[in-house]
Amino acid sequence: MILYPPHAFDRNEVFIIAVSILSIAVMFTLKRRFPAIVIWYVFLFNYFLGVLVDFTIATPPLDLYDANDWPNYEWFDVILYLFCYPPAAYVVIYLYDRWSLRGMKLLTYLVVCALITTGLEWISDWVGVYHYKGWRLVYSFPVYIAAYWVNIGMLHFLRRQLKHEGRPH
Amino acid sequence: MFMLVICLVLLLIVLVLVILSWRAMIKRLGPVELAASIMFGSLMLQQLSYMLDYNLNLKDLSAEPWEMVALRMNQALLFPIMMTWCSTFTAVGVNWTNRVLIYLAGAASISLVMFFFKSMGFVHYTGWKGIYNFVQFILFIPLNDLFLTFFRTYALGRSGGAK
Repeated sequence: MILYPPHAFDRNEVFIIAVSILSIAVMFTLKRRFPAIVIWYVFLFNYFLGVLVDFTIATPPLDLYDANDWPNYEWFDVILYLFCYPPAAYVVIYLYDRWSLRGMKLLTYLVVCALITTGLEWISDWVGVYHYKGWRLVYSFPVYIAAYWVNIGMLHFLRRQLKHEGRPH
Repeated sequence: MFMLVICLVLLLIVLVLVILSWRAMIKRLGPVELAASIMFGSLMLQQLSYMLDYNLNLKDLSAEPWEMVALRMNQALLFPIMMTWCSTFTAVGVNWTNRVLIYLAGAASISLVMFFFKSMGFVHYTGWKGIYNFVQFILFIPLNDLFLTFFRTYALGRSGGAK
């Protein structure tokens, strides 16, 4: 099968749908602050990042965890990559930009965001979205800090380029 | 052993060409479009690899960690960069004949690299065929080009927010 359907439509699928709807709703509720390119980039970059990380550490030879019902690639993995990860990153860079965080405030903000996301991952693990086979929840915390930090870097990169080209940034 | 050395030398040539053309690629496409094109190409290839290698079992990947890393690096970075190479040539207004020739040359180059990997034993085909690589890339390179057109039109062209 090219893409697997869920083995059984149970709480992990319901959780993914609920989080997706909630994340997208939060994203649309926020007052528009960025040009269209930033929204495109957040989705593309985080989809890319999620696939790259999973493709590297969740497949053999490392194979540290599985997502959802099958060890293979399934429909709900796509929904997870596309509608759960990018909106969360969007909210993080939105609030970072709105509050103009620098220095220690930025570090604290990243730690808090990573803690919240690790908490959400704990719930995901509990409902069966992730199945750890060597990975531990504690490892996710620095990964989230790095991921959000890279996202903030991406925002600065985009702004610098748009400014250089004389476009709205 | 002789084949392995030939393969490694040719792969090195491809890598050197990528490094040498990097500045020209940035100049022609722009850093934002270049990164977007590489990310999109990488996404397509990685997802297809998931489907073909794991879901359909059409390829048997080497169990050696370093060979696996080499394959992954290619799917995630080198091949998308090579696909973007083609876009740097089509970005300067070429006619359809030249465009098709660029796509064919790009697909042939990437298929050749895949052939080297197969020759080196990094991957064994269990239902997949070498010619399918060519067909895959002849479809993916124009798709990547199309994505760049959409990206320029809708993301960059209409950019403008509240700030």
